[in-house]
Amino acid sequence: MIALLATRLVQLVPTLIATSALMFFILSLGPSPTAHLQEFGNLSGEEIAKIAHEHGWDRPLPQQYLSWLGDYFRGNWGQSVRTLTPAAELILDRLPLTISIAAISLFLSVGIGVPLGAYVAVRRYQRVDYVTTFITLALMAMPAFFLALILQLFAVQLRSWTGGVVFYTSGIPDGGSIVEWFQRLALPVLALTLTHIAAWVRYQRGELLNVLGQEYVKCARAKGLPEKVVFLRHAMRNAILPIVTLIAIDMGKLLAGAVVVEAVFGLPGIGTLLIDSVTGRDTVVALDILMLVAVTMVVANTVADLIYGLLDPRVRVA
Amino acid sequence: MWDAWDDVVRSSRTLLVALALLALTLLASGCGSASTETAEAAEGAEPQRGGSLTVSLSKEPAIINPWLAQGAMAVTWMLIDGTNDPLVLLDQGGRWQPVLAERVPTVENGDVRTTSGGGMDVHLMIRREASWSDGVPLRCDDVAFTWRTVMDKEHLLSNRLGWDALASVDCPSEREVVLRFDEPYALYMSRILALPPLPRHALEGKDFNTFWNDRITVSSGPFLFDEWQRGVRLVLRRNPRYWNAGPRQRPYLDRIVFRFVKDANTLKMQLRMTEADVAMIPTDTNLVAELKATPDVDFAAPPGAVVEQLVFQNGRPPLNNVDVRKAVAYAVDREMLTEVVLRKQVGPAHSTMVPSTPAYESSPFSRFEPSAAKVKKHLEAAGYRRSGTGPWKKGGKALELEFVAAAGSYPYRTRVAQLLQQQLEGHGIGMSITLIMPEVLYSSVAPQGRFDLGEWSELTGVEPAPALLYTCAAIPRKPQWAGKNRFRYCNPKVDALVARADRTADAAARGELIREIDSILADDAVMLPLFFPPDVVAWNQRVGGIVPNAASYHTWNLEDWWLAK
Repeated sequence: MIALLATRLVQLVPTLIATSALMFFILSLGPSPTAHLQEFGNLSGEEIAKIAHEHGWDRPLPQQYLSWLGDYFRGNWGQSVRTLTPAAELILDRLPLTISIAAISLFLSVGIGVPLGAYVAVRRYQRVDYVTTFITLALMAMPAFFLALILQLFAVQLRSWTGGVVFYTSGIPDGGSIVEWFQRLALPVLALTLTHIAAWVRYQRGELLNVLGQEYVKCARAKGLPEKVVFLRHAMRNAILPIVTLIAIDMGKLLAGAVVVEAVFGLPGIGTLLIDSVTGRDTVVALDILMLVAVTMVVANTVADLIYGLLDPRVRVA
Repeated sequence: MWDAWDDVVRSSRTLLVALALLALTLLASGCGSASTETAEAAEGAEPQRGGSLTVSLSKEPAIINPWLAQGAMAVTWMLIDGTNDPLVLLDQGGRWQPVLAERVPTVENGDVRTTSGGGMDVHLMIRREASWSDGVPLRCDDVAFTWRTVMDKEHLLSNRLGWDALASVDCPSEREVVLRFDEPYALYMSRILALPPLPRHALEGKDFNTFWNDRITVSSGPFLFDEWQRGVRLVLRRNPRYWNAGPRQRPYLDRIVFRFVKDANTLKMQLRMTEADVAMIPTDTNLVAELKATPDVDFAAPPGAVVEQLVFQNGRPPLNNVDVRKAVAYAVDREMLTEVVLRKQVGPAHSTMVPSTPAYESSPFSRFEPSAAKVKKHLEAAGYRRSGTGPWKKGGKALELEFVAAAGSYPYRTRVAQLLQQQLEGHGIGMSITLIMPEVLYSSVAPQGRFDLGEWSELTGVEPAPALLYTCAAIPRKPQWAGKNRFRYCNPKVDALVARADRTADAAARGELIREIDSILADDAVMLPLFFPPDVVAWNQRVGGIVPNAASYHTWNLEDWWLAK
C-alpha cells in the first residue's frame, strides 16, 4: 500500500506540471491581454506598453510561465487584469456556490442513479427497463443548457398555475431565507443532476449485468446462499467498486456542467467567472481557475486510486 | 434475489412519496414567495414612495470607475447614473437640459464667447443648492479638479477627448466656472459638461487608478452607492440629502438593485416571473414580438446611439476603388435586411449620425437603393466584366470579398452576414464569411485592415465626433494600431471640414458642416450604414416614471422612478 501511495504521489507532480504548462501556453496563443484596452479606448502606445510592463506581459513566455507557477504554489495567485483586484479573492468568493451545487448534484445523482441502475438491471428487458433506458438516453443526449432552458420554462409555467413564484429562474438570494435558497438553487441542481443520474443508471446497469453473469455469482447460488446475500454481498459489492474511480472522474464533468448551468441560471460561481475571464482576456484569473480544477481532478483521482487499492487487493498487488 | 431488491425499492418508494408530498406542499403554499398580483402604475398616477426595484442587465463592467479604460463602457455610466449628476444632460428629445448648472451655456445666450486671442470661453454657474451626499457643497473647485484628474498622465483613462482641448478651468467665484479653450471647441457640452464632476474633497490625494474601482464613496445624485457583489448585483440606496429632491422629496424608491444576468433568455424569463421590474435586453430578431406577448410588461425599443454598418476596406484592392464600393452598396437591400433580421423594429439607416440628436439629422445614404443597373454601371466603370449570370471578373480574376464580423457578440450579425452573402452573390459578387473573437477582430484584424468587408457598430456620439472615425490621422498605424478609422479612408477635404466643425461652437452652423461631411462619406461610399440597433428597455407595469432615453441612458431620471404597491 505504501508503494502504491508513493507511486501515485510521484506521478502527481509531473502530471500537474505538464497540465499547467499546456494550459498556460494554450491561453498564451490568444490575443494579448492588452487587446481589450485597445478595443474600448484610445490609450496611447506608451500607456499600453506601461500596463504590459507592470503585469510582466512583455517578458518571454517561458519566463512568464515559471514566474506564474512559482507564485501559484506560494499562494500568490496574482491580480485580475480586468478588475485590478486579487485573483484569489475573486475565486474564493465564487467557489462555495459552485462546490455546493456540484456536491449536491453528485450526492443526488449517485444516490439515485446507482440504486436505479441496479433496479433496472435485475429487471432486464422488462417494461421498466425499456422506459428507464429511453429516458436516460434522452437525458444523456440533451445538452445541459437545453435542459436548463426547459426547466426555466417549467418554472414560468408553475408560476402561472400556482399564482406565485415556486422556483426562481436565476440568481442567488439577496440575503434571503433557506426557503429562498432552495427556490433559487433547485433548478440549477436539478439540471445538473438529471444528466448525471442518467449516466450513473446506464453505468450501474451495465456493470451489474456483467457481474451477475460471473462464475462466482453462480457458485454462490449453487452453494445455496439466500438471494439477498448473493445480490448484496457478491454481485452488488463487486459492481459498485469501480464507482469510486468514476466519482472522481464525474467531479470534473460536474464542474464542466456547472459552467453552462451557472451561465443559464445567472449564478455567480466559478463557471461564470471562468467565462468572464476568458472572454475578457483575464488570463491570470482564467489560469488560476483552470489550475484549481486541474489540481482538484488530479488529487481526486489519486485519492480514488488509493481507496480502490484499499478495497481491492488486486490493485495493490499489481 | 429480486424479492430482496424489491424490499430495498419499496422502502425507497416510501421516501419518494414523502418527497413528492413535500414538493406538493411547497407548490400549494407558493413557498411564501413574491406574489404575481401586480398593481399597475397608471400613466399620470401619483408616484408612490418606497420599495426596492430590480433592474436586470446582461452586461457588467470589470470596475465601476467609468473614466478608466477597464470601466469605459456604457453600462458603467448607466450603473452609476444615480450617484452622479452632470452639469447638463440630454433629455429624451435630444435637447440639452441644465442639471447642476443654472442654465445650458450656448453661443445664443452669450455664455459661450470667442476671445480676442481666437480662443473660446464657456461660462456657467453651478446651482447654489448643489451639494455632495456628505453635505459638502459642489463647487467650481470640483470641476477644476475633474479636469486635472483627467489630464494626469498617471491615470489610465480610456479617453481625454475634449478635456485635452481645455487650456484652463478658472473659478472666479465658488459657483462660477469658466472653461477656457485656446481655440473654439464644439463638443464642450457632450465631452465635458455632460460628464459628472468628481468630488475633490473625497478623491484628492487618493489613487484614482484604484480608489473608485469597486465603490463610489460620495454621491451628487439621488442615490448612494451601497454594495457591489461582482457577478451578482450592484445596489444603490436612497440619498436622503439629495440636493435636487424638490417639493416631492425625490427619489421615490428606497433601493435599486441591478442584477447581472448574462443570458438574454433568462433576462426575459425574469421579466415574466416578476423577478425583475426592469430589464435592459440585447436586441434580437424576435425580441419585440416576445415582449408584446409578455403579460403586464411595457417596453420601448428606440433606435440606439450606435450605427451598425457594413464597413468597406478603403485601403486595399478591390474596395480602394470607389466604383466597386458603390457597386457593393447598390447590391445590398437594407430594407430587406431590417425586415428579416429585426422584423422592422427599426428601418435602414440613411446617415452615420444617430437619430436621437435631430440637430445632425440627414439622409445622404438613402441614395443606395438596390439596383442591378447601378451595380453593373459601377463595376463596368471599375473595369469588371461579366458573362451571363457568372461572377464579375477583372483580368480573369473573379470579384470575391472577405467579410469579417465578431462571433457571438450579437446573434443577428450571423444572419446579416448570410443575407449579405446571398444578396451580393445574386449580383455576381462573391463573399466569404469569417467570424472571429471580438478581441482579435478589434485589436488586430480590423485596425490592420485585414478584411474587405466588415460589420460592426460605431458610436458616433450624440454630438458627433467625426475626428475619431474619418480623418487621416485616425487611421490605425504600427506599432500599436491605435485609431478608429478602420475604413482606412483619407480625404483632405473631410479633414478640413472636421477641423472646422470641431471649432464651430454654434450648433446650427456645426450641424451644416456635419451634414456636409456625411454627404461626402456617402459620395465616396466609405461604408454603408445598415441600421441603428434598438436600445431595448422593458418594464413591469407596476413601475412608474420611466422615460426611455436613447440619447442618454434609460436610467437618466432614476429619481422619478417609482413602484406601485
